[in-house]
Amino acid sequence: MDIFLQQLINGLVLGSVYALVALGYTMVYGILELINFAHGEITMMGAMVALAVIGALALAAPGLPGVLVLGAGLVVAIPVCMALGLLIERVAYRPLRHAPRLAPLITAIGVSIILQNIAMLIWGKQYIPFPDVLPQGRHEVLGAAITDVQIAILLLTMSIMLMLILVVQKTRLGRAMRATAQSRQVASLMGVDVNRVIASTFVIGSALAAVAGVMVSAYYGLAHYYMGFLLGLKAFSAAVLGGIGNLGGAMLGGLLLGLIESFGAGYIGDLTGGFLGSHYQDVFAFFVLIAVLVFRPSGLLGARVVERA
Amino acid sequence: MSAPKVGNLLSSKLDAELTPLLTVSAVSKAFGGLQALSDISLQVHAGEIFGLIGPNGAGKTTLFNALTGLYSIDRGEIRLNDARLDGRPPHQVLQAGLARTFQNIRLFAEMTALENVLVGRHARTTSGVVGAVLRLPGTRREEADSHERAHALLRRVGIAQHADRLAKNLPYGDQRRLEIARALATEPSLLALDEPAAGMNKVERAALRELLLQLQADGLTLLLIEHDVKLVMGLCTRLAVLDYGVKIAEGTPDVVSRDPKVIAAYLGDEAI
Amino acid sequence: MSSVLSLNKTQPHWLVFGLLALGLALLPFLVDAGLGRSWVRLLDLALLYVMLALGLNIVVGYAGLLDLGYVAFYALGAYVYAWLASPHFGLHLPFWAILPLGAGLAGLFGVLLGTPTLRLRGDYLAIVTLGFGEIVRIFMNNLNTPVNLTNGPQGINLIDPVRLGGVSLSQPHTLFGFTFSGVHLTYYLFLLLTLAVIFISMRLENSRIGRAWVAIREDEIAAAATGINTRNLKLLAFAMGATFGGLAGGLFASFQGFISPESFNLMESIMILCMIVLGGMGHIPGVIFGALLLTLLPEALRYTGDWQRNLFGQIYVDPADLRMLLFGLALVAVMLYRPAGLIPSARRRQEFADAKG
Repeated sequence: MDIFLQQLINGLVLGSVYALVALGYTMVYGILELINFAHGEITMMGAMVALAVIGALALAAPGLPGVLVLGAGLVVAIPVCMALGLLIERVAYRPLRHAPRLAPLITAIGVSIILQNIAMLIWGKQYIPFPDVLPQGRHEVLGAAITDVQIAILLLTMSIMLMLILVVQKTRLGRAMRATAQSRQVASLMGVDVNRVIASTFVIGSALAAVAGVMVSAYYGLAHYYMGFLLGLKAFSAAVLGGIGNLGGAMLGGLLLGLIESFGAGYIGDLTGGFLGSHYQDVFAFFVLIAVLVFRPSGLLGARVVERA
Repeated sequence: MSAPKVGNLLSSKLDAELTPLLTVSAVSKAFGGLQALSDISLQVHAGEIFGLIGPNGAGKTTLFNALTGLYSIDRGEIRLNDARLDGRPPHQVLQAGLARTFQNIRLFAEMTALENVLVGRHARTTSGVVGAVLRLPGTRREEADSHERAHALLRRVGIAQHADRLAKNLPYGDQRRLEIARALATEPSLLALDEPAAGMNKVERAALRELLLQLQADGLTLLLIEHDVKLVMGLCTRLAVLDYGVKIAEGTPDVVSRDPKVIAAYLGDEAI
Repeated sequence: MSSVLSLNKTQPHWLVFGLLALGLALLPFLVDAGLGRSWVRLLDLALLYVMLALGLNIVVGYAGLLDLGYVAFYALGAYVYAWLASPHFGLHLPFWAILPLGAGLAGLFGVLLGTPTLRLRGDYLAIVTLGFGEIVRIFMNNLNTPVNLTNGPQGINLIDPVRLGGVSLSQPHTLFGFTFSGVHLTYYLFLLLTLAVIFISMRLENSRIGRAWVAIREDEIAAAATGINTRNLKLLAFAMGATFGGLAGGLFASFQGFISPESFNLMESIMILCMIVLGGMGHIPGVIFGALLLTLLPEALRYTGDWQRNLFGQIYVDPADLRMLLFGLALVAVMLYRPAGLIPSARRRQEFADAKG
C-alpha cells in the first residue's frame, strides 16, 4: 500500500473535520474576539445527540437504509446544537460583552465543564460505539484505500464550506457579519442589529460543529463525553494557525493540521531514526503551530497588522 | 531640497546659540508601495519649539514613529546630539533623551495618574527585583525620589488633584496633560508632542500654550505636530511642512505661511 | 479574609497581625478536629495552589501575558525533585538543595520558552504557551524510551518526603508535649513558603518592576515609548512566574511521594487561571482567595451526596459525578455577577464606581 497517498487521504479527511470546527472558532473570534472555549463541547454534543437518535432508530426500525438513519441523526443534532449555541451566547457571553477581557473566557470554560458533565450524566462515562448503519465500502486508489465514510466526509465538508463562503460573501446576513467584524460600533450605527448578527454567528458555527461531531464519531467509530476537548483544542489551533478571524485561514489551518498530524504519525519514526514513535504526533502538530506563529505572529493568512502608534 | 536661510530670518541673538539637537538626514520610509517619507531632512535646535505641520496623511506621525523607534526606517540617519537613534528600539531612544506623546493618547488606563508618571521614571531608575523585595536602602531612596518628582510633575501640568484617580477616568484635557507629565518624568532633552491640543477647548488650549512656553523657558526643546494653525504660528520658532511624505518648506512661521507651495498644499485660504 | 485584605492597604495593627498568625498556626488543628485529617491534607494542597496562582498572577495578572502552559513549570519542578530524590535514579539529595534547584531550573525554562513568544499578542500567545504545556506533558508521557527518564504514564514513585534537619515530614513528631502529624508539619512548611511568595509578590507589585509589568499589560507600545525594555521585563515576568511554579512543583512531588504526567495536564493550567480570574486578577488577596476556593470547593461539593439524602431521602446522582457540573455552574455564575472577580482590586472597584457615578 502506498503510505504517502494513504496518509494524504487520511490527513485531508481529518483536516476537513478540523476545518469545519475551526470555522466556528474563527467566526466567533472574528466578531467578538472571544475564544469560544465551549465550541468543542458543542461538537461533542452534536455527536452524542446524533448517536442517540441513530441508535434508537436502528433499534426501532432495523430495516431502514443507513443513509436515512444517519440523516435523521443529523437532522436532530443540528437544531439541538444551534439552540445550544444560541443559549450559551445569550446566558454566558452576552452579559459580559463589556466586562474585563478574561471574564468571558472563564465563563466559556465553565460552560465547557457543564456540557461535559451533562453529557456524562446522560450518556455515561464509557465510549459509545457508532451504531452499525454506515456503508462499509472501501475503494482502492493507486495503492491506497479510501472508505465511503471518508468520501462522504470530504464531499460534505467541501459543500458546507462552499455554502458558508456564499452566505458570508453574498447575503445580507453575511454582509452584516463582515461589517460587525470590522467594527461593532460602526455596524450598529449603520443599522445592523449587532445582537442578531452575533447570535446568528453562534448558530451557524454550532450547526457546523454538529455536523463535524457526527463526522468525527463516524470516522473513529465512537463517541465520548470528553471527545470535544482535544478536538476543540486542535480545531482552535488550526484556526490560529491559519490566522484567526479569517474563514479561509480556518479552512487552510484545519487541512494543514490534519495533514501534519497524519504525516507526522506516519513518518515521525523514520525521521527520528525510531527515537520518537507515532504517539508524538500531537507534539508534531504543536511544534508546527509554534514555529508558524513565531515566524508569522498573525497566522498564515492573518492580516499582518502594523501596530498603529 | 536645500534648507531656507533660517539663520538670517531669526534674530541675530538666536543665531549665535544655534546648536543642532536633533538631526534628521535624508530619512525615507515606505509601507509596501506607499512612500510615507521621502528623503526628509531637518534640524531641531536646542531650546526651540519646532513645529511639524501638513495635511492629513502627510507623514507627520510616521516621522514621529520613525524618530522614536516604533518604525524602522529604510534609509537615512537620525541623531540626537551625537547619538544615532535609527535602528534602536523605542526604550533606547527614550534613554537617549527623546520622549513623546501620542496623537490618540496612550496612557496606562488602569493605573492611577501618579503611577503613570512613576512609570515615566523607569528609564532613569535602576532598582531590580532584589532591591524591591528586600527594600534595600538604595531602592527606598530611589522610590522616594521618584514619588517626589512625580508629584511635582503632576502639580506642574496642573493635575495634582487627580494623582490617585485612574488615568482612564480623567477628563480628556487632563489625560493629555498627564501624558506630557509622564513624558517629562523621563527627563528628555527633546519632547515630541503629537497633536497635544487635539480635542481641547479654548481655555484648555490657552493653558497648554502657557505650559509649553514654560517648558521652553526651562530649557526643554519641543517638537510639535499640530493642526491648530493659530497655536502653531504663535508658538513655534520654526516650522517644517510635510506633504505626501515630502518636506515642502521650512522656516519661521512668517516665511512658511507666505510660501506659495505651502499655501497650495495645506494652508489654502483658511489661514491667511 | 478581611484582615488579609487590609494588609495590603494600611499598616496593620500588631494585634491584628498577632491574631492572624495565631489563627494560621492553629488552623490545621481546628480543621483536623472539625473536618478530619483528609482536610488538613487538602489545606496543604490549597497552599500549593496559592503559590501556583500567585506565580501565574505575575505573568497574567501583572504583565498581561495570557499563559495557558503554566503547568509545564510546575511539572518541571516536580520532575526535577523526583529525579534527584527517589529510587528512580537512585539519587537522594537533600530537600533544601533540590527545591531551589528545581525552582531555578523552572525559572530558566520560563525564559527559554518565553523568548520565542515575545512578538506574540493576546490569544496567539495563549495558544503557543498551551502548545508548550502540551509538548512538555507529551514528552513526560513518552520519555520512558529509549532512556527511561520519566517512567512514562506510570510516573515516578517513592519520592523522598521532605526531611529538614533530621525531621521527616512523613512521620509525626512530638514537640513541647504536642504531637504534630506529618500533614501538620507539612502545613507549616508550606505556609512559610506561601507567606514568602505572598511577601515577594506584594513587594514586587508596588515597585519599579511591578509598575513596568502593569504598564506593558495596559499598553505595550506606550510602555516601550516610556523607556521600558519590554522584552526583558516580559522575560522577567515569565521567569518569576515559572520559579514559583517550579517551587510548588518540588513541594508537590515530595508531598505526594508520587508524580505522573496526568497531574500536569492542560486542565490544571486552566484551573490555575480560573483561580486568578475568579478571585480578582492582579490583586493578591483575590488571587489567594480564588486559589483556596477552587481547591476546596470541588471537595466540599462531594458532600452533595449528604444533601441529596437529607432532601430527598436517597442519592439520585453520584456526588462525584455531580460536583464538576456544579463547579462549572459556579464558574459561570461568579463571572456573571462579579466580572472583575470576587475580590477585585481597589482600582477595579474604583473603575466600576466611576462608571456608575
